[in-house]
Amino acid sequence: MLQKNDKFHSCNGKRVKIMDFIGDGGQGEVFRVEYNGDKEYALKWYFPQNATQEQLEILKVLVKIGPPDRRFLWPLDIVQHSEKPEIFGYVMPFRPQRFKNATGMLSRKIEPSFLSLLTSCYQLSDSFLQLHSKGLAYRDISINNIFIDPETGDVLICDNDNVAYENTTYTGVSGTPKYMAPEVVRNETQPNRFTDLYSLSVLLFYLMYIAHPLDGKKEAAIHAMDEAAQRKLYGFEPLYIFHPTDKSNEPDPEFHANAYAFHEVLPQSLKNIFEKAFTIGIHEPAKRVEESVWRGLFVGLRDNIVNCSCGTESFYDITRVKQGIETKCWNCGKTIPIPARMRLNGEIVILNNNIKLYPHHTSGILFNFSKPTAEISEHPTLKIKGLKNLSDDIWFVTKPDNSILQVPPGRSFALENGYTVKFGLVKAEIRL
Amino acid sequence: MEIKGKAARPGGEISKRYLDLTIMPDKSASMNEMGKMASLNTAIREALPYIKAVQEENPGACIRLSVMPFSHGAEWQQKEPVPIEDYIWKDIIADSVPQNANQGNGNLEIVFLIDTSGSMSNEIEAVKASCVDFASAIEKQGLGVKLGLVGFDIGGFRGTPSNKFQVHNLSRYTIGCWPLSSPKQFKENINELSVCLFGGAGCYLASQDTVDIFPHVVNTFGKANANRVLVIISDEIGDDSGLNAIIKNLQGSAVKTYVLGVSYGNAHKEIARQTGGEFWDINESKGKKDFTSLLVHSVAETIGREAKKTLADGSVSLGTDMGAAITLLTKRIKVEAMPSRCLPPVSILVSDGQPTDDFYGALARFNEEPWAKKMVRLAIAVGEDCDTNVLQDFIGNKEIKPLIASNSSQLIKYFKWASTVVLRKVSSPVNTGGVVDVPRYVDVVPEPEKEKVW
Repeated sequence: MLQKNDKFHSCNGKRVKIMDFIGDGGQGEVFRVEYNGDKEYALKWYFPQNATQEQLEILKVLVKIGPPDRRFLWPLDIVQHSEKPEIFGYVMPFRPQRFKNATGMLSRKIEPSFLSLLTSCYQLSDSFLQLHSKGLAYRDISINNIFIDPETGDVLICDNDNVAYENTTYTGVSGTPKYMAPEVVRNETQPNRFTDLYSLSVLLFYLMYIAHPLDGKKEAAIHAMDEAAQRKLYGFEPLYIFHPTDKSNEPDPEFHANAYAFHEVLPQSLKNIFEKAFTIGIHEPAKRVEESVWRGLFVGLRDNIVNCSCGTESFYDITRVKQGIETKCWNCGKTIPIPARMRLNGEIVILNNNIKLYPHHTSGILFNFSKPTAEISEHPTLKIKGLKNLSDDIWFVTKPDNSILQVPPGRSFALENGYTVKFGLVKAEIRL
Repeated sequence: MEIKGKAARPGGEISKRYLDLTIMPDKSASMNEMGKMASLNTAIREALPYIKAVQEENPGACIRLSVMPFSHGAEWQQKEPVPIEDYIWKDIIADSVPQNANQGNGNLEIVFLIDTSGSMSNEIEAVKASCVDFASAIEKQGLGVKLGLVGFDIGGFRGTPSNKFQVHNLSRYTIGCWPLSSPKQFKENINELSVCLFGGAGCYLASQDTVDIFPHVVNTFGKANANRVLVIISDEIGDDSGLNAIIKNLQGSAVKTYVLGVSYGNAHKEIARQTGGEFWDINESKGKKDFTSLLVHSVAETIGREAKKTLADGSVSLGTDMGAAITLLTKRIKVEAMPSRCLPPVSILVSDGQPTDDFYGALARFNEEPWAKKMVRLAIAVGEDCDTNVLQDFIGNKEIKPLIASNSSQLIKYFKWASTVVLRKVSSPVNTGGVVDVPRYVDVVPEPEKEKVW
């Protein structure tokens, strides 16, 4: 195998120097490398039995296509052993330490806030949308292939060496059973964009619920979870644990307590989409929830978080609010007073103390989170909460008496009920 | 925002299923040879971080490790399976080589007394093949065990006289005696044997007229202080009229006698019983018999690898109680003893020899357990003396072959493979058809170096 300081030339003619062994997985070993003089790269080096001609061909295609976005630890170049060219590996960006494997979420070793988690879910939906829009399928979406920065919610997607054009038939892995679309478990189809959509919805459910959408009483009844049992549960008899009419696979309170705990807390809009994903979406691939729907949903939910004085977050659930149900904290049980909020393009944005607005909100450039354009501020002497203009544009605020305030960049305006702010083309109404 | 020391969101960990990994290492005295036990300890120690990594990857599994060394009997190292995060490896210590061991000094002599009468025509080739296999096994051990051969029959010598063996015409029988020789020479000798070579009219032990065969048999043995083993192979039986005289002769010369004979009548069974040997039914085996494993305790005793030991329950153990290990495992996987939520358990049997107890009986009982069917069973042979057929039968799945580790680095590789690839597949099986793709991996593991560590 490879040794420290081994030197190779990549297929693109770049110099590759082996630095440190990082770890190994099922298919090969990963080393930190110096690539073209830059140390922010890693090399995945296949075990001989995994260094197949097919894999090499896939990599060549992937290198040529390039990464769909910067969240993919994408194969950027291929390295073949100078003496044994049949053994090879690929160069990819090095993963910074702040990113942790998302499996730690399930053991609660990584405990991101709801805000960070929603960011992760938004980013995942967005990245898989980028991937799919290139005509590619990831084929093995699972929590093991996702890395999360628990502080920010930023994600990285690794193990991209199974990605292939949708119509490619390819003998590689067909997925991780709990994430595989039922039709793949039943061996009826090769993984494709639609099976990816199913896997994505399972991944998102896992992240939000710390539970599996099909693991209910049927799972609890199984003593030995072997391949046959998995095929039945996830392939032949898949049934959503929160199916609206068929209650036969409800979560078992002993083994699936998380499913109940989160179902209490998560907002109805999210639960509705999950229901669609795991009822119609289980049986009709073409009707699965699209990445863009997930993306819009999670981005919107980021704006619906309220902070409790006990330090935890809950959701401002518009469905419940309309029913006259107060927002209660899941942790301390207290009613959470609803902070200042604004109505923006028909959606509610909760103006928590830690919130930042982006062009996504203020310029109508959806999903642009490149640079904050507004943040909550406090009056230097009075106890008044305001919104500070971090953009380059002048804002115009209309008071209920129709008088107008100008808010130039760097200045703030007081958040008062009935104010309407114009951030350029986008108009928002302040509510208290 | 990460809330330190406090959950930022509701709920707890995802619910887990137990994944029990059992390692059953042979710690018989022979594992001391050539650093085999040290290599095994190293291999398991090196595999632990990989098992821990698989645990990290699979929060839905709770991997627990149990270790059950066996030699004289078998015993769990820990009462309960230990979660892998908490596991602290304790080196296994192999049994010490018995003090009185006389390794390879030719202290064992085995003489085969073989019936060449016409009735043996169905069995003689199988008998010869078994004897050749046995001699090969002895030869491979490189030990100074000496093997002799006597053919007997009624009707007179019908072959060409040879200086390799001596023909004696007795009161009724004609016998041919090949002197003690090396296993290699013995293989040539046994090939000279054919049906009817000494007449073909029959062999009726232990009638009175067979008594005079035995002084010649006893004379075939050499050193007075050697362990003497006689193996009689015959498919005919006479009356008991000479039985006492024969037994007296054998006992007086300290010859332990094993008989592959017929089960009706007394004579064959009694000769074996009264001289401390064993009786096997020739009709069941059709002449084919694996003497290597059947005689292994006699062999083992003499070559000094193992020692006899009386266990707490009064039974005598001969050092590689693989059956006892299987029996202990059977108790652990009983439905009532298993937790309610599991992934298929995995077990790894590691041995360098052959079972010396009732392995097959134990295995049959084990196989009746529902969890035995779910278990992924792997086996590693340490060195080439190991009986891989036994390991294959333990695995119980022809698609998975025993792994043969002929040196330390192979052993480490196999353990690493078992603890990563196999555990991964069990904790999260990929839908590729077979559960475990062992042979493919084994094929591609390159021979790391030619020199053998043992």
